[in-house]
Amino acid sequence: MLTVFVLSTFVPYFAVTIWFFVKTTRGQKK
Amino acid sequence: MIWKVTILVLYLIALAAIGVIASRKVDDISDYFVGGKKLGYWLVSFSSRATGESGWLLLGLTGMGYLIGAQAFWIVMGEMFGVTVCWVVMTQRFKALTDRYDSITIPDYLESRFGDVGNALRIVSAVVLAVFVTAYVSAQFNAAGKAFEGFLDIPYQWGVVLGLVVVAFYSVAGGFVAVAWSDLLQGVLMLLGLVVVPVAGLIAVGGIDALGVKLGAIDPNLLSVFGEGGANARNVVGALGSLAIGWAYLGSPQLFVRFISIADQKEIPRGALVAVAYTALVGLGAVVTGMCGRVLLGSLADHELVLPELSEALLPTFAVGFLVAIVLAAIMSTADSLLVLAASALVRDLYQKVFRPKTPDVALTKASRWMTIALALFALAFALTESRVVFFFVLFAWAGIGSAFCPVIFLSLFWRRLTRQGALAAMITGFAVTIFWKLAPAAWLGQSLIDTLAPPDKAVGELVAGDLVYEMIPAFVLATVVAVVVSLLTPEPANAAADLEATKAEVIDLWS
Repeated sequence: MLTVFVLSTFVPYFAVTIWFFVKTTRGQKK
Repeated sequence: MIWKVTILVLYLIALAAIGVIASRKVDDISDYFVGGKKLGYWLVSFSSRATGESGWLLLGLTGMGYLIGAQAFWIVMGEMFGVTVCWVVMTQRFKALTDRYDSITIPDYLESRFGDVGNALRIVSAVVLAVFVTAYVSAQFNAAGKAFEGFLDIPYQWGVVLGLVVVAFYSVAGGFVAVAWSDLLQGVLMLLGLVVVPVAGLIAVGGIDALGVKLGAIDPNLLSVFGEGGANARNVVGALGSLAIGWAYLGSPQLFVRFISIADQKEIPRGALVAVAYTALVGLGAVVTGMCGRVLLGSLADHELVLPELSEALLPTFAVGFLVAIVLAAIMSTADSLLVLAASALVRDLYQKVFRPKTPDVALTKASRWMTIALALFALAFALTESRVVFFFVLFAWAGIGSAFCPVIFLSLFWRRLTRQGALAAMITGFAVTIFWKLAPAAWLGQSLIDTLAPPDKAVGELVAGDLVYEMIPAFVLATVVAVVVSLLTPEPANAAADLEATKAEVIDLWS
């Protein structure tokens, strides 16, 4: 239960940030 | 003792050197307040993180990990949410708009965005910042005094004054550049401390599984994210309050002024990765430190001293010296940034813009330095009266700044209909509700709410509304509602649609 909670803190926010990073830095190369 | 003092002195010399070097780079007021908009992503993301996290993170959050165990993860969750939304959703648009307007402070931005001719937004911003920054900074000096007292046995008052001298010296000399560079140094130190201490703690406890077993043996509630009584109304509202701490990342000027200083839009995605990773590491590190302390140290007189106590118990003496420096770093990185911010609000946004538009830059930079000193002394006077609890005083100032500015900044980036009147009404609402909620007797909310939400350890007569529900929640929500309602009743700012449309072109579209 605690593990699920802690993972749910970190994973989604990292996922969003990495997605943002990939999207935006790709845009720059074009 | 010798080790501790030596390391502390080296650290203070490094900070002073930063102040001197940076002061050579300050030529005009834009240099003093936003580093001439030339800063890279490491500097900006570390600076915004070190400013956002203060002595509150190192003493307060570790203390919460000790006191309430897994429940403290809600606070980390709230912070992660705020930092992520801020960097991913808001920063690019904010940077593009402030560049378009050529703003160097948040009130500059508000004025341009809403076509504020009467300076009302400037005056309200300056008042809000002057009040809450003084509270926030004096809480940091308070913590500095306690840290000196706890680690080095220096009398409390001397510790406060010592903290003031160092902070004032380099923020006055170097302005924003000095503050940003010292934030980088301090941010790195804080990260180190909150990685080394919990790792040492986990090794001493015997690993993560052992930590769970031993914590559960002390009190099974320490492993429950809702604590004693499970998911009842009181614990759920408490968790919501912890999550709401993150809301103040959505536009607080002490953090957003850092985004104005970024050299380029391209720095933002990298800065986002750094900021989110940083938040995750220090948040997790702080809570785990507290949990390990609970297992290894047993009962403590003051739960907020778990970090110093644990490091004394586990680390070699020279490392403890570093830890003193780290706690001071956290305190100072917040205090200096806030001082420069409040000085900019009063000198640039009030004095120059409202009263003396033709003041030359040299005189303004000088006036800013004097204002920084004056504000620091004012905060010092508060801090010397002792007796304040740092943790809640910080959260109060955090809520005041957050709920006055964040609804307005957030809506201003996405909603063209937000008007000058809407913004003004929202800022006054956020400011007033925060103060009201912190002072109003809980009885005004009704006995049934007291019965369901009041913390069990406080006398009913002393309860204020803020003890039942964190003041950020009513203040932020009401300010948002007021912003929307008043804006819909007043005409849209003439330039808003064109400005927001033009920034869209600069911001990289995430959905394409």
